[in-house]
Amino acid sequence: MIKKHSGIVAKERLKIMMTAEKQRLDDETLDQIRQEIGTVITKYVIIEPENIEVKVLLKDYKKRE
Amino acid sequence: MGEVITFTSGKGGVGKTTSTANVGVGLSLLDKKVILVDTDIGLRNLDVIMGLENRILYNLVDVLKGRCRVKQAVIRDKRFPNLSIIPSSCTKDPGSVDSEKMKILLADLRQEYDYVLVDSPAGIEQGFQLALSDTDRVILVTTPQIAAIHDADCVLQILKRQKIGELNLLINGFRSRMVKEGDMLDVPDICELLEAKLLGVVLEDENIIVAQNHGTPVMGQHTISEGCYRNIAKRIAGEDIPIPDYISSGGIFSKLFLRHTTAKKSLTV
Repeated sequence: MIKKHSGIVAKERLKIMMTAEKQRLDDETLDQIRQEIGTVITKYVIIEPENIEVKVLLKDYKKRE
Repeated sequence: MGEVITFTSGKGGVGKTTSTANVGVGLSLLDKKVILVDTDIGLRNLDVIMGLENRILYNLVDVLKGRCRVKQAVIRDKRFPNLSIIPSSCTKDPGSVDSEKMKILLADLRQEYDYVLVDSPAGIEQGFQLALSDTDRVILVTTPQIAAIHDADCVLQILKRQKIGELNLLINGFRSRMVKEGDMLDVPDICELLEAKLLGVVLEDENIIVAQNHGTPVMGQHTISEGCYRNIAKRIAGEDIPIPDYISSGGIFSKLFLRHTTAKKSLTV
């Protein structure tokens, strides 16, 4: 027998799915973030832009990319 | 100048075409001149639901490819004097149609009709983009089922990126009994998940299937869904009709109806 009161289960599942999907960044945006961070660093540090590597990570240290 | 309204959903089978047809009839009964345009190229069903399948001479693809004049593809519904439709084609190879040509067609139709209702196909591919060529308002149709809501959200994110004017939500196939038993998402739950202004709720109604078997809309049939569609048509036409709360009788969802008008969500980086 399937458990009743499944509406709340559906809502929770949807919330999780939708949040995850909205936070996913496309490659173009990620590249832009990297470039912009690189530009800021070159303003304060003498370094060639090609020597800068930017990684985007989630706050809970789960690797995003 | 008429208003172009696109009905879309993401998932198939949630009632896009049924909603387009019945809202269209509802608006025509309010003395508005209405035309329904089926953009589901290769799989036509708006004319079937309306019972006009035997009156097709030319279709949308013929118009967009310049094989006929717009007027030749327009079918006037004799039962509803203010209502016409442009059917889609049913060919194996739909070929490519130009959304620029669609824009020109919609501009023409705007001149002549008060409301141009565009029935978009399921999915987010070519036909979907064609349906969004030049629209003033999008009505996102969903049922309270998990997959339909999920796909509706995917479509919503695409629409937001494309900066479509007004985004409305139509909840179809709502079953009060299941909601009361906790087995179906309620209207506020769906509104919390999908960021679009609630336009109306249509109750689940077996009469829709019966009416469609006969090739007639539910409008004028005195069924439970008829009132829902009639109210949606009135709201589109600008009347202030509150959305009834089908769970706790007497209540209304007016607050929800207004809540999302100014709501904006920023991108989380």
